[in-house]
Amino acid sequence: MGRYICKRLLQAILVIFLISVFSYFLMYLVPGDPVYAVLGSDITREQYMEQFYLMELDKPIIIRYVHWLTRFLTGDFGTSYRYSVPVSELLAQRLPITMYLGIISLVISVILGVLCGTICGTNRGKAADNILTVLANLGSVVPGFWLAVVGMYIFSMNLGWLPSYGFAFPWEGAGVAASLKQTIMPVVCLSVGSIAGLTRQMRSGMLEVIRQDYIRTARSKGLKESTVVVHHAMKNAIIPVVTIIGLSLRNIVSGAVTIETVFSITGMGSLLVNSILARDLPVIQACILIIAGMVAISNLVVDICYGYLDPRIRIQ
Amino acid sequence: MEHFWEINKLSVSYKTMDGMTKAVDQVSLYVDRGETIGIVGESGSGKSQTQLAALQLIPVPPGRIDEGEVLLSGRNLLSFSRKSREMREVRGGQIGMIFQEPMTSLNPVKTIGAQIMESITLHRGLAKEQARKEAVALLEKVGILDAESRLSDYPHQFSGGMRQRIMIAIALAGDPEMIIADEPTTALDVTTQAQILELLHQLSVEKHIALVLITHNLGIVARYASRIYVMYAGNVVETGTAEEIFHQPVHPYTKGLLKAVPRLDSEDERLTPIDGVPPSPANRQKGCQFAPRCRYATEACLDGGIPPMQEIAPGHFAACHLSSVRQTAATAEQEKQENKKPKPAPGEEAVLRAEDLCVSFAVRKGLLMRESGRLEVLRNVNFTLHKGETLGLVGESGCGKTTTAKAVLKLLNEATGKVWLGDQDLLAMPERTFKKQRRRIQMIFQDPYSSLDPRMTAGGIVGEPLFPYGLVKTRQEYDKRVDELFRLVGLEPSMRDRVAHEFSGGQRQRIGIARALATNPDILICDEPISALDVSIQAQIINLLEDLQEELGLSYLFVAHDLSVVKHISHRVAVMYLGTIVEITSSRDLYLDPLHPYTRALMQAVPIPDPSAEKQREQVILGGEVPSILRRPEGCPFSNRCSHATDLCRKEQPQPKEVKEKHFVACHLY
Repeated sequence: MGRYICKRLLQAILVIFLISVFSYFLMYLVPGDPVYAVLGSDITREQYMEQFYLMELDKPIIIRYVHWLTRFLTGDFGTSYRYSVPVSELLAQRLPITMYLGIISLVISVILGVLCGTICGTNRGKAADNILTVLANLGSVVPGFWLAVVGMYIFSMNLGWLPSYGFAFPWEGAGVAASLKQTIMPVVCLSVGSIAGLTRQMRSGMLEVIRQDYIRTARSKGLKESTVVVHHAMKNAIIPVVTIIGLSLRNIVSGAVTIETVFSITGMGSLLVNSILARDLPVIQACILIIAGMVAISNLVVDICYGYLDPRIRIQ
Repeated sequence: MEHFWEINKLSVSYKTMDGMTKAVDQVSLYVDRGETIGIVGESGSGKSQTQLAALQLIPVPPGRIDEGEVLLSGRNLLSFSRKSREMREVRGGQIGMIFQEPMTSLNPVKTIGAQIMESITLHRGLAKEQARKEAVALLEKVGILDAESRLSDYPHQFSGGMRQRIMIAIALAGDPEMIIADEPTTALDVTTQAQILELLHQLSVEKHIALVLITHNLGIVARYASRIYVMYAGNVVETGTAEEIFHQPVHPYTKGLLKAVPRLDSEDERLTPIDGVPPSPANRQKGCQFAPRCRYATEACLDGGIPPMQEIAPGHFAACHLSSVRQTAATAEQEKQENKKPKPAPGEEAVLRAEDLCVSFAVRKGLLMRESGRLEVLRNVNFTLHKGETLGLVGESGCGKTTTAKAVLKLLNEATGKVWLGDQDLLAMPERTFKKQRRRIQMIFQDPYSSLDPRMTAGGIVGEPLFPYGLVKTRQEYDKRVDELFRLVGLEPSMRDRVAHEFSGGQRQRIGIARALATNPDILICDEPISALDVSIQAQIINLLEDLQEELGLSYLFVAHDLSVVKHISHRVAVMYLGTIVEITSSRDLYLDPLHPYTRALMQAVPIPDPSAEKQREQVILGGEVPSILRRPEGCPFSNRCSHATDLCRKEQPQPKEVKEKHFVACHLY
């Protein structure tokens, strides 16, 4: 297992390296002069030349890449063109917010998704299954921002229970209660889609597993139905669900631009989209690499989970 | 008298797309303490459903128990609900179950220790430490070596036979008074089958456990069961002692079944198949379920309702409208005439010859996938197939019989050696030249369900090779030839436009045969052509193959694991073990005078459907299992399981010797 993890880790590093190459070269692939991209076209000749040498544009691109990479590895991600502050500072503001919301949403989705899916799968065709399946189908087609707008209309504007915008951590000034109130709606909107997706996957996994021979064996032992489901069926049924959870781990760092926009939360999603629109290349590069790193890590985590859940994979 | 386990008039139906279908119809049976009974039937006969329903293990819905009683020591189990505590105490406690597929019947993500201990703690209320000790004892009892350390292993780390032993350990864990074994050995090799059955038998004697053996294999029940129930289409059609069922069968289905199965100890008489196909639960007949396939059926059989059980002799019942006398002597005489047709002798001309055929795969390791060794699947296989001859290739799983078939067809790039088709070496031939020769050598596949394209019409499948090989010029010729091929294999040409799933298993295999015949081949390679079919259908296909051989002068390379079938159909038989042919001789000789210790063990492991013959046979059960080809012993591949093995056997691989006329054995004993 240890060797296997090492191998996968090396692969992940290789992938991240390649992505760093692509994202750096991106800067020079987009049409237009990089100097104008930084300073705008309304500059003097001296300003242009100063920036030209600052960006080492007189040196070969490989050298520039190596310099950029060394700086990147030491935590210097460059300076945002748009905000004129170090990218690291921007990330330090945005990333924690997105991750905080993302992790809460992930935990809720996994717990509720697996639970609902198991209930559906073990009660096929009964009322509980039918209701939950309809809800799951609805949940996976309703866009999060629509829920956000409707939620805001009902709970903020009509009932006035929840604030309609903004976000602060519980340990910041406004206090725990206020922060919690601000968190509820964004988290719900972020989670509904993935709860629905996980429910559907868990349901079909459960239906598949429950008709296997080893479930019949477990029942023929005289085990209680709940023991059969929890001890014998779930561990098997959850294997395909892990894949989906792995895919959604990325959302922890990438954020959701629509929901952030609706609730005026300054998260990673809006940062990335705005930077793309403004061609703020240092920020884009940093975001791409963070997301790529997260994808690589989540793939690794998924593989380790597979190994834990399914001993047949562990041996290979 | 009160029986230990008694099922009275149990009926089970399933809700399907076509409405309610009866899977089990008014089935009654009983088992006494310590008794072994056999329930025999083909797929869909309701033999498993009866037992599963009795323990309320069928899925509800779509299943439903319509009526009946299930008495366990006089207590009606059906009066308890499916999930009740009483029912759970019976399951796994008083009654243990063993299922067919050891590969899928154990939970792949739990250790076997956990799976055994679960039952022990549940039914015997032992603490974890004691349960662990008990599990070790159970594993030792069922013959798992190193039990203590293997408790924490997962099912996939065991072979099929070992997993079935673990299943038995689980069934024993609750200290049951009865074990229901549902096709316990169907998925296993024949020598492993003998071990598992013997183990079950010993346990039942030792612990006085009643044993219910559910199987389609008449041989198995002949050896072990004292009483037998024969089931057909959801009904019990005949029941009696093993002697009565095998020697004085009354019901035409029982009789038909006994004649349809090739026996190891019989001369090569032609088989008498049961015509037609078993009815599916969805289209049950009004009268006797067997009537449409019965030679003796009358009006009364077709409309007279399901015949009641009649007592023929004390304890011997049959459900047939006709008394045995009515089945006239004349018909029996005619049957004898039909059967006595001798098998035509093969010609002398060699049509296919394998010379030092080897297949080995590279084992690659490390980052650069460098070749670290070679896995020898076939080692110097030699055989000759004559014109009009059937050469049987028999052996247990992993012995390389299918690899041989593929190598002969030039389907494996790794094959070395020579394969002579007439005077041309197929393996040395470039692919382009071989294309023209491929017409002469065709294959019939094992699984008629997956080997036919589900989206092509039957006619399209059969006629596909005709145009590319230039065998027909015009559309009319094509149609004529396809019709001809359909008739040749006993199918109506009007079925041409149907697709595969509209045919039954036997019919599909006929389509497969017609497809193989389309190119006018000289040689057919039959890879387990009947092992996926029901017993009563197998005889039809065997007879068809024999007829075609006579009519068209075909040569068959017949690959199968079932020694009785191979012996029946083949002129000569080659016995394979771990990639080598250990013995090759005429099929008669092989039965009368098997020389290689492996062949002898194989012969003894094959059960014979005749209780008195079984009692006279010596019972030496070969221990161990076929090792993986990765761990082939040095020297003779059989040396680690052979009781005669000497140091020479362990060092040097024996070469085939002609011990008697045309009887070759690769063994140091001769």
